[in-house]
Amino acid sequence: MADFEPRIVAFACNWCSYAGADLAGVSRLQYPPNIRTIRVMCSGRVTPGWILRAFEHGADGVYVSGCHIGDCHYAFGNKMAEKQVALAKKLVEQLGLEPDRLHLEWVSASEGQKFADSVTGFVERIKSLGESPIRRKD
Amino acid sequence: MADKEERQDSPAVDCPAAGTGKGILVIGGGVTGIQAALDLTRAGAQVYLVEKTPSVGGRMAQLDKTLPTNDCSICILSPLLVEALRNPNIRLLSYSEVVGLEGTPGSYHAKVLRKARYVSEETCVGCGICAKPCPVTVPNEFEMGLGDRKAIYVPFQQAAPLVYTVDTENCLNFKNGTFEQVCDKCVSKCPRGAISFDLKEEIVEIDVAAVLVATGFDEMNPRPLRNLSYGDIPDVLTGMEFERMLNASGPTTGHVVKRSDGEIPESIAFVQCVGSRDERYNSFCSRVCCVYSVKQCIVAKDHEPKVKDFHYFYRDMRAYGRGFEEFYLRGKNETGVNYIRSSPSSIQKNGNGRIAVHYEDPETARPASIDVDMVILSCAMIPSAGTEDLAKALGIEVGADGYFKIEDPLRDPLTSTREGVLICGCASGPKDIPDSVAQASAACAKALAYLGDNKVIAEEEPLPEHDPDEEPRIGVFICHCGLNIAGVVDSKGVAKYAKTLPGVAYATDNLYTCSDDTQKKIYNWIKKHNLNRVVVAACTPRTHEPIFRQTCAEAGVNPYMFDMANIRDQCSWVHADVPEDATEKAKDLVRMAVSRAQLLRPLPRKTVEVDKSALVIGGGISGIQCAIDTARQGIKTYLVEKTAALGGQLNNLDRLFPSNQSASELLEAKLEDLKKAGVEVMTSTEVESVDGFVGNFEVKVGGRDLKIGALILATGGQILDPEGKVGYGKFKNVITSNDFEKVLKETETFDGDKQIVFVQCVGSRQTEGYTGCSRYCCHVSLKQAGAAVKKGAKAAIIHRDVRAFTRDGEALYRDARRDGVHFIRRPDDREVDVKGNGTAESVSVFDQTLLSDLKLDCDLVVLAVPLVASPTAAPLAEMLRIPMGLDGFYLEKHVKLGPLETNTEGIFLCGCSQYPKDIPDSLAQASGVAAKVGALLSKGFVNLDPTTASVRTELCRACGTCVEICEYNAPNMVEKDGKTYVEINEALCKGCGTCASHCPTGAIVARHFTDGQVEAMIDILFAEQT
Ligand code: FES
Repeated sequence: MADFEPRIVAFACNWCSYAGADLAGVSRLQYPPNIRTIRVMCSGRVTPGWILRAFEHGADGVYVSGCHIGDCHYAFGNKMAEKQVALAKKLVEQLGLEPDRLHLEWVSASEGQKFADSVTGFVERIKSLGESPIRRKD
Repeated sequence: MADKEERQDSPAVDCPAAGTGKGILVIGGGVTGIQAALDLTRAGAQVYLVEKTPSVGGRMAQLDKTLPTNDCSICILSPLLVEALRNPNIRLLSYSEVVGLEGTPGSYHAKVLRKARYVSEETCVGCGICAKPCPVTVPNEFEMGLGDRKAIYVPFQQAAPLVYTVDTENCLNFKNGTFEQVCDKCVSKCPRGAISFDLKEEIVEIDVAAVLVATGFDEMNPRPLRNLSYGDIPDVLTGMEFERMLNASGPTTGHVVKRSDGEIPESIAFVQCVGSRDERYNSFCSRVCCVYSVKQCIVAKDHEPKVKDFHYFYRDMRAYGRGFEEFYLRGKNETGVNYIRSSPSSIQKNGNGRIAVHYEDPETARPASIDVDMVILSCAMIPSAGTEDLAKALGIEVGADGYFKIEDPLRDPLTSTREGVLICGCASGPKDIPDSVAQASAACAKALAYLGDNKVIAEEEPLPEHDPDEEPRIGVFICHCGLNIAGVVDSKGVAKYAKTLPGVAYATDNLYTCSDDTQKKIYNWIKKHNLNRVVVAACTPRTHEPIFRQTCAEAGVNPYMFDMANIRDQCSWVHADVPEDATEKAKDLVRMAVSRAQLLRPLPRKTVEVDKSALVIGGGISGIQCAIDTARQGIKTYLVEKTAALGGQLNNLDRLFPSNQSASELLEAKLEDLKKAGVEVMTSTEVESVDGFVGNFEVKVGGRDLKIGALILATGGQILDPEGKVGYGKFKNVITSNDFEKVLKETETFDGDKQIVFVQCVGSRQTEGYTGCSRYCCHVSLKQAGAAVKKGAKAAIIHRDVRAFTRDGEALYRDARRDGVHFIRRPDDREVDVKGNGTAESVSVFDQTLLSDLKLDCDLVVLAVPLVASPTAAPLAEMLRIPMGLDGFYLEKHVKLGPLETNTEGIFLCGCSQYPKDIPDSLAQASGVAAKVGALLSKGFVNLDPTTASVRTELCRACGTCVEICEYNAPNMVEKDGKTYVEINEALCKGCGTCASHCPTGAIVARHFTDGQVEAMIDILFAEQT
């Protein structure tokens, strides 16, 4: 189990979090290569359906990120995302997975370091949770 | 003079009459010239862009990173270069020089010498086969001599145009400039027969209405300062040389190494003001070096963590721009830069093979020395070579500092000594990138006024359509980005992998996918392989999506049938230590993008009409200037001011730096211009509400409802109230510099014993709260102290750094010293103490130079307090949904390249609403905004992003969820034919997609980010691996 490499899908809003992830790159900050990011215009676009779908297909973790509250390019998309993620957490639990496998983080365009750190932390956490039971079943 | 017909919707316009010139001549193809050329074409002008060297790009192309965000310099520049190059209304004359200018403003006739490249621009494809056999190797200027090139060369790989040039100084076939064939290695190897020594130079003659000069700067060669040993010790480099060394595409692929032995230096010294602020060479301040050296420390540490020490020698830390002060402190706190306030007296080789830097220790005032392994000299930025010749050719003057002279920097900070010949960027003195591009836009506003109606209105072609049932034929292009990607990720392997993916008809890898020549290749591949979708795996779509989309459109692929995989910023750069994992990730990202691409749908171009009107909020000098320049373009312009009088801070000022003009005279002149331009002024009025979107804002103001095309925020700032600081409020003879302006206005002569003490940074550069520098206060105090001394008083200035960074600022500082102003430097952490009894009698401070406490008698204490954001800024920001920085000023769209725009289309920033600025900078920004507004409104319509939400009416149950959550009132409940459902107003929809994710029936489709597209990415990501 120790050497297990988590497979994580991330959703990042175009204006803050995706830009923050780019900044991590520009600053050459290193983080584990376990995440695959899908860019959306706003974190409010992310649906519980996508999150569940990822888990059902065997994701070990799902990482959602948007602008800090108050900074959303579209005013309140991230507030909506907060609710959607909370809802998804419940559904994830019903699937029989630890809700911690789903993580929401606010990352601004200037927080490259925060992006790198939080991804690193999340990968660690998923490692400690182990492989998704759904994936193990396959 | 051509008769100009009055536009119906325009007021009586006072602008220079248009002449016979059909275009605008821009000289210099650096970022300033490129920005100007693009702005001009957006406003409908034909542009001739003349560049002296073989490629456009200028200095910015050579830089590694830009500060304070540390963005990759060429990466943010290159989309502009590509855009300029492919713009049908920009005629690029590279490797050319302007040799003559006749005529009058509006009707200039220019002569341009096109030097012979001996390679045909039409035939050369930049393959580089010719350079390999060339027997001559010389230092490459682009690499500042740290790398080599051949005698037939391109300066750098992203050169634009990508055409080789024979360097006749070094080619064996030329002896003192005369041709005598002895070698034909390149000629015989060229597969296209592009090289010919029969090609001749030629003169091109063009008629233009105005000329923009953006010839930039050169770095001074520090060889004459023999004590610094440049040229004697190989590890003593200039700032630009080090910049190339830091660059991943540079001569050391970004590794910080000693040139002497290839080892990593343990310790590096940085030396400021080499050849600048120095009467022997250049008396001016080079303005950008203090912070670029901090950047170099931070980047060097990033690239080479083994570099332990950074010793940074400086005289005054001139970190005056937005975010600069914080950046300077970051150097100390995060990178551990050791800032030493001292100028090295000499730099010498040491017995132990290291380099000894001798200086006076500021803490002991004793001689000291430090051993280092490398020294970087921040050399003066001097006028670019050929400035004098160009001045002659253009019939304009240069100033004593060698830069082009500005006739009247306060009234018009851009016009040279000849009307219609405008100077922008570093051609009128050192500047950073945002100040340069703001000036570029400003010069456009002025130039366009001479062009009148001689414009070419480009036809917008409809976007390519596709048959919805056609089989996906996806082209995948994998970028190396030099070594940025390919140094980690196996780009070739990823391309090979991409070929195996379903729907992919063609896949390949490219050295630089964004370069102009690769665009041509992609165009051809699309045609040849009949591609209908394109995926590029390279850097970030945030910067590069637009250029690829345009290439797609040109080649007949709808631009929304395009996707990017970010395998650099979010892959190779962040997984540099695990190349195999990075390659796997890159493959996944490409697979996901390809899978989404299958489901992409073409979207049509969407346009809305715009109202040819503008509303300027704020009637200070910036707002006034912006309104004048906007109205002169025939745009109905309103100016609202909340107080009873126009003029803002100008009303409080006496005489102005640098030309010593009286503020009231300047204001009077500007108000006269304002009237002539036909601006509608509303004083004592505030904006009540704003609705709508670009080109179609609905504004309630002063009880009126106005339809407005563009909004300009010129709300300025207010002087911080220093209550409780440095005796203010306690002693009545402690006043602010604003108050002192009044004193100066009213005082003929001071009584000879009057002792005035100026205190800088009262409330700015704080550890908490106002952390930034207010940028103009040093100049103000220098000006005031100088004036006070001239009027008989004694003056002392207590400062932390004298930030006299402007073109004439250093002279102002020098004159103040000469006139007897006493300068006292205090350490950052020592406060100024004012004592007295009812009135202040003495000022005590620790003098950092004398290393002792000092007590000054005072009759008057003048506090330099910073400008803070206006109280109207925040409510307006909320009303307009414009982001503000932590400093309370509005945030510009991009720190480097978008200083005038906000993130919302149609809303612009000028003057101190963005950040504190002096008058010339505010005026330049104001004119720049006017040019942007002109470009936005000139066509009568704007393109809107079609990636909005749409409704599948048959699925809509009219639950109203979307209506409730949308912040922009885009969804509307409608009733038609007995059915109730939601319709989206696409002009209002901003495309966030939140409604789609909440629609319980799936009736709302977020175009371009549909459920299907995203789910396809999720599915394929996990499908392959399980
Ligand atoms: S745009 Fe970032 S969360 Fe809405």
